[in-house]
Amino acid sequence: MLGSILDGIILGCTITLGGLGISYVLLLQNYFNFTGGTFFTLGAYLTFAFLGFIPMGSFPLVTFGPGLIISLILAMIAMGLIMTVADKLLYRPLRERNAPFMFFYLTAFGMLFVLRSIIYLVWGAQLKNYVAGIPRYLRGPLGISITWDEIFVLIATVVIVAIVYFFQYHTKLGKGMLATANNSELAEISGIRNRDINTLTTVIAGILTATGGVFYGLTIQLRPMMGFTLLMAMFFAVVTGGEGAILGTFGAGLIIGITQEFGSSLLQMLWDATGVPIQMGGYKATLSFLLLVVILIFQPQGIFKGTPLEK
Amino acid sequence: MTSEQVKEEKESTDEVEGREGEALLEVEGVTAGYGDIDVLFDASMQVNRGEFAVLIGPNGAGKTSLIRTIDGVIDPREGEVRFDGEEVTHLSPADMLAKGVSTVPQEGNIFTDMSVQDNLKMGAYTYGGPIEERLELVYDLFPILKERSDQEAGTMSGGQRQMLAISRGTMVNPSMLVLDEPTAGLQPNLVTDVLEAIQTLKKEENLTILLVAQTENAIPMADWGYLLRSGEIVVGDKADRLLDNELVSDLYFGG
Repeated sequence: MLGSILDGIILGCTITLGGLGISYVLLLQNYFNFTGGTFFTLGAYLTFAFLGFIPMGSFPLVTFGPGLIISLILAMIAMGLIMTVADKLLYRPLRERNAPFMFFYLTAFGMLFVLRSIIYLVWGAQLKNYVAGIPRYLRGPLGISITWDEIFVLIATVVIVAIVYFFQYHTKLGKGMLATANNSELAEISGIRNRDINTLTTVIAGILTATGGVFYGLTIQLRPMMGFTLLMAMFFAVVTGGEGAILGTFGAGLIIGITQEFGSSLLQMLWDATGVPIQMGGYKATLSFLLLVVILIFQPQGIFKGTPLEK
Repeated sequence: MTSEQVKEEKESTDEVEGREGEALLEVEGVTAGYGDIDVLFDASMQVNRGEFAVLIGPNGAGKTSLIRTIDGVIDPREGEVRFDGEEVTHLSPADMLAKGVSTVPQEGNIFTDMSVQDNLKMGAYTYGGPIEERLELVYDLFPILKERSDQEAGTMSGGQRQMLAISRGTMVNPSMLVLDEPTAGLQPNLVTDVLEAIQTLKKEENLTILLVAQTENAIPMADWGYLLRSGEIVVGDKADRLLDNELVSDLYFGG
């Protein structure tokens, strides 16, 4: 059971990165990007594709080498480009016409299905791994163990969140994004060009989403539905963490990750005692949804409102 | 409208067209609106360099629309806007700011979720010089902003918000400051304070001012004034003569 909490923290890291991508789009472009989960998957598969051309090499302790990092960087660039093109072709015309938000949601839904079909078409439905090697474990007390790959994901996520936080609140460009999110017309007449900010938002969202997908693929496996199954958890992190709140999204991501892993393990233990053969692992998204509903009822302004994590 | 009023209107318009002095902002025959609905019709005005101009008119006359057309938020259907001799008719708000026109809108004129200091810094987003000097300038003008520099702007009072909005517009060191009803909804003593601060800014920064006024308070400190009615500029005259104009009295101050 303690191990499932650790698993939850690692899952929470990938949820956070995907959630931050969705959060940026929500903050600056005012719609929930349902395609976020599929971009998460696409980023992971693009890294897999680049890895086919780049020798993996090896780092100490972990199962991967510099090849994965280079492939991830290439995937980040590719995702930034893909999301920018999608934004220019699909969303910008809607923004410029002040189209109803339903149009944005429909477009995002359409994109989701198109991209998912492409992923199935190109990479098939089989599970894939970045590496064939066996992960090395770091074993702690009480039977707790964690792979070095997972330690890498944890540390890298903390570093990425810290960089994003610093960029957002301590750089001129980051504050310009906040200004645009707060009052886009005033931002424009203050010289902060909405178009540039929207492009930047899309690129950042693409980078974060791709990274989240790769980290998920590194710690679990690559599956065409991996992002979609995490979509509810990502929405949970965005909504309950507070719109645009970087630390809040991280905190909520960890909460929902732990809830999914620890909650499903606990339920499994309870079900096993009844003798009814049900795999509770299939109900993780349901746990996310139930927790989301409970929090929206009792703490609709977000879990961290009024705390240092509200930013 | 009586024939006398029509004659007076025509004379006023002729006077606008025949204005002397070095024009900084020229609006010529602008027709603009929202979607298919026009709210400005063949509007023309001129603001000279270093001048304090006021634009007055009843509610719904199109004052804000004219300001939004000047600063690039609304793209005019017809007509031309020139700034410093250059045609700027279809430029974006950010481009207009780059030309030197800084606008302080009537509503939504501060970043409510950001601190006072961050609001000021966002005002200086495109300013190339040392920002500290600009901060000192506005803090000298409105010391309350320095005291509350870390306060979230959305929690400030109406008067303080206006001070912040004007300061934000000034931070970029513009050639021209366009203010849309900066005294709307303020207590009388604050109205005087804000108008005096604008006057001080004009002198210290050698600014050209175009101010949309809801009340007559700003007219005495202005050099030139325009009356906008139903989307048309119907009077353009020296400010000290504006209050004596029959159309101004009839349409704006209730006769």
